[in-house]
Amino acid sequence: MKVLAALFMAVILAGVCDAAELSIGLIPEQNVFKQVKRYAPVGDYILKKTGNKINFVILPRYGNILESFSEKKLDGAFWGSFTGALAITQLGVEPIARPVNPDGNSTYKGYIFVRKDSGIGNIAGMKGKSIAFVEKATTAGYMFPMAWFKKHGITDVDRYFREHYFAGSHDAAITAVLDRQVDVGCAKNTIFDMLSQSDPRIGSELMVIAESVPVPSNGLGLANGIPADVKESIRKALLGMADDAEGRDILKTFRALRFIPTSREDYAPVFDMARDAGIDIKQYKYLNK
Amino acid sequence: MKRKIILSLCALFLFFTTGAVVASTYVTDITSRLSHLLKLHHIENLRRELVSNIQTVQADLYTVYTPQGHDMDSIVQNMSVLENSARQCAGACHHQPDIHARLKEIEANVTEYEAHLSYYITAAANSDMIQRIKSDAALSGNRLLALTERMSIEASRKLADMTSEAMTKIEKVLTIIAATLIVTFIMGVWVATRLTVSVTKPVGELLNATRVIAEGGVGHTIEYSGNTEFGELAANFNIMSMALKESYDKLTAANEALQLEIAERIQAENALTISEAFLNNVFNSIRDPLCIVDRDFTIIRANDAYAQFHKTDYPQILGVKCHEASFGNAQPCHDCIVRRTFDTSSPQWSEKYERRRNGEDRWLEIYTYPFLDSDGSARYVVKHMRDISQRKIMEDEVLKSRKLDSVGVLAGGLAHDFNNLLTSIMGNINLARNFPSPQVKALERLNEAERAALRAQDLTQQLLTFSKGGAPVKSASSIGELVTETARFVTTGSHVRCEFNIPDDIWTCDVDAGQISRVVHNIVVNAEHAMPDGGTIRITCCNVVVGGGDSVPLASGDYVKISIADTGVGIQPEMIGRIFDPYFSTKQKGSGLGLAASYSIVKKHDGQISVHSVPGVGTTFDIYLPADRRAAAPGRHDELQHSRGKGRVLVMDDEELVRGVAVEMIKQLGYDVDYASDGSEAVERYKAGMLGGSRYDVVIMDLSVPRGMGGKDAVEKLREIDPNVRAIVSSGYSNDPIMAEFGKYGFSGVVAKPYRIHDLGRAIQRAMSVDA
Repeated sequence: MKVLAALFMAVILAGVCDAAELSIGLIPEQNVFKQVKRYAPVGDYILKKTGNKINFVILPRYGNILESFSEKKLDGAFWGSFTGALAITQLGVEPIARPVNPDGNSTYKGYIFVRKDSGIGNIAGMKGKSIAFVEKATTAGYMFPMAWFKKHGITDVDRYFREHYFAGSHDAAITAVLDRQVDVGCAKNTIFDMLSQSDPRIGSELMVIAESVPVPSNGLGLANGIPADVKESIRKALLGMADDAEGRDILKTFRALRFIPTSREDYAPVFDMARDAGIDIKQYKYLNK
Repeated sequence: MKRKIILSLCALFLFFTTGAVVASTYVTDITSRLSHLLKLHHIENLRRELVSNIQTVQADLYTVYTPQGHDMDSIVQNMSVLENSARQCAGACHHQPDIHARLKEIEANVTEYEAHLSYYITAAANSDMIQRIKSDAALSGNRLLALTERMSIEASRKLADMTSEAMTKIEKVLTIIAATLIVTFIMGVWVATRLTVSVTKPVGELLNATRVIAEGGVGHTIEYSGNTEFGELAANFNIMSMALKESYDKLTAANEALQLEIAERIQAENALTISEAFLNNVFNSIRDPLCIVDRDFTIIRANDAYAQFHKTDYPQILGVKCHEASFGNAQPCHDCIVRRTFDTSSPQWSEKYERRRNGEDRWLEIYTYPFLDSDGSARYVVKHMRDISQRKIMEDEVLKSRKLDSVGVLAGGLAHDFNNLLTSIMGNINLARNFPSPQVKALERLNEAERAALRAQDLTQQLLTFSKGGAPVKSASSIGELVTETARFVTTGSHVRCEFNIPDDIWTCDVDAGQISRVVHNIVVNAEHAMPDGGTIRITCCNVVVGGGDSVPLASGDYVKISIADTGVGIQPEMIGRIFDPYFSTKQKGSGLGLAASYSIVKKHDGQISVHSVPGVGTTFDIYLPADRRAAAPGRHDELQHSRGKGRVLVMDDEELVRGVAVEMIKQLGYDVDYASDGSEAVERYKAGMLGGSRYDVVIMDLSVPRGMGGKDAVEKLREIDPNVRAIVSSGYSNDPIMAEFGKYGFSGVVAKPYRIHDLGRAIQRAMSVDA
């Protein structure tokens, strides 16, 4: 009887030991509180399917995500496209999976938008105006507009614009333009489209001046040191969410159709855009001024 | 009463229920209010918690990025708590529309606050911008806080009002409950008291009444007036009590009557006992043996004389079969008078001879009387026996005396006849001697003498038939054949013819065929003589059953009646009474002994002969002979077959020729035969056979052995050796008394000479059927 109890405990403990507890960072793609609410069910699902507990850590800045990754000892994060590229390049993070948007795309674009009644219709109209970026470490919120500005001959935004700052999140940038806090805004189209559904003013009062090429949507990347079986179990859980009724309900709340596998190659457009923007990803300093 | 109880209890229950319902209603209302109050308290707590959370987040906002500030995760977590509080508060209960609107406003403010806070957390801009964003977040937080605090104050006030109102209602409910309980208690006590009194009082009276009745006061009644169940109970009780008294009185009277009846019955039983004792005394005082037999021939009652008669005690004789007790027979007697009584349900009479084991001869006169059931059948038979041995002896003596008288008459007659005959014989002889030429004349004289001698022979035969020595040697005979043959023989060559009316089913009779033939011969001869001019003799035979009440002086039983009727001159009435006397004759010819001999023969056969005649018309003789329905007269064609058998037979006869014929006949009958020449040799042979294990089954012994031991002495010797010897006596003298009463001399059977093979066979069969 004692032998059986010991064996039973060994099995239990083995199961417990096999389960990992991972800290996954969440970038401020939108309102940080909304971010937590959005990703929490996904974390619960992963726990249920794999036994691995996911603790989400809000990262208030896109910018210090890499430091936070080390300081907070994160095991992974749902990276943005640019931060994901940075993490792959500088931290050796392994992409696992990314969501497919409700429109069926697993990518997003960068928007540069103004109020329709601002009188701004092009790059020339932006001169001397104020602009809200998102973060230096974002594709749609900084890198794309910088590349677009460079493409249109503007290399010094400090001079061209009267004022610029980093809203910190895409929805903040959209709201800042909508609320006439700034004249021009930069944000990702997915957040733009999502907010326009909840606030019809966005669709009716704002207009998009420019948009970027598609880049990978925010996906999960795990640190190099995470055991392969853990990575595989999490990958498997995410990829199988669409096959599961519970998973499908979570995906609906998450506003995604499914998760698809993601690799380094999927980030090629980001690397190209960074080159176009004159950014050396390896050396890039992404802290906001 | 029942209605009163029900109404009282209903009223009590109704009052209690009313109070309980009212109290319940108030309690329900209060409970609802209290629940609402609890909810409100809960909501109030939620609001306070929300306020606290808002304050916490505001504090985080003011202190973020300072040494007193919390990290972003903590701020985010506190904001999540705040959001949860707001959600709980909004969904805590059903609010009034205005409250609901305010909660929605709070939710909207929380969302705005959240957005501002997130903006502040994530924004990276210059300090002015950052400060502006921070102010916007702080203002949003303050607005939220103010809204929440305002709602909380209002809710607290309402909560207090509601609490006060609820307490008031609680007090009211307590009052109602107390009043209900008190009044219910009072009512209950009153109802219980009233009901108790209304029940216990009549029950007590009823109880007393039952005690009185139990103590013997039958008929006691109670007085209770009231149109209630107890009134009805009292009335029924009184009825029951009166009925009980009536039954008791009847019972007492019946008991007294029963006592009287018992006394009378005892008296009757005593009288019966005395009567029975008297009857027993009478029954036992009867000196003749008396017994009562059931249908199984079992003796169920007997008197002392019967027990003594059978040399036993009364208890021993009960249960014994009467044939076993009286005659030692295992089965009922052949002609059982008791059986005849059961069969005919009429009294019977018989005489029975028995030779007892001790050799004593005894004659019994037996009367039987049926004891009839209601259906007329005999249930029991009373058997009355009387030892008439002495009487028989006396009768024999009287008979002998009469015989002697008859013999005297006969002797006188004979003397006269023989004198005549002798005179004729001697005279003729004398004359023959004296004739000068004696041959011719002597021959005529000698012829005359011969005729006289023949007549003397015939006379002698008649005398022998008439004498005691002419006892019938019986055998089963066909009366029809016997009568027909005899009558035809007599009327052969005569001018008289015979007409016969003899049925085929005429019973067989156990008779001496020769003697009965003589009877028929004598009567037919007389009938022929009565019709000198010819005529018809009508001979009729029929089966007759004589009962106890018949006029024919015969014992009850089966008989064959032979009627011989002529149409002759008849017999005068003054002579008909003497028709059977010896030497009485109405004819010129005749010895006068024919009918006397016929009478004697019929009597010796236990039969009856009678005559009735009408002068000028004719005469009819009726002869009754005992019949045996069971016996069948052997047909001539199977006489020999039925006479055969198996066994060892010893023949004793001194005459070699006779012995030889007998041996040959017995061999033909299938038996093994040995012979002896006298009684001594027969005894020795029999002894040797016994010792050798081959005992003779039958011994046939000649009576007269002039130069040795005869059969009579030999059978005595044999019985000494073997008491169960089966011996048959044989003789040429049918008149020998031993031949007639062979059983008395120790023989088992008889056969007359000259032998006929079937007579010999049947005699052997009969002897062998006797139990050895």
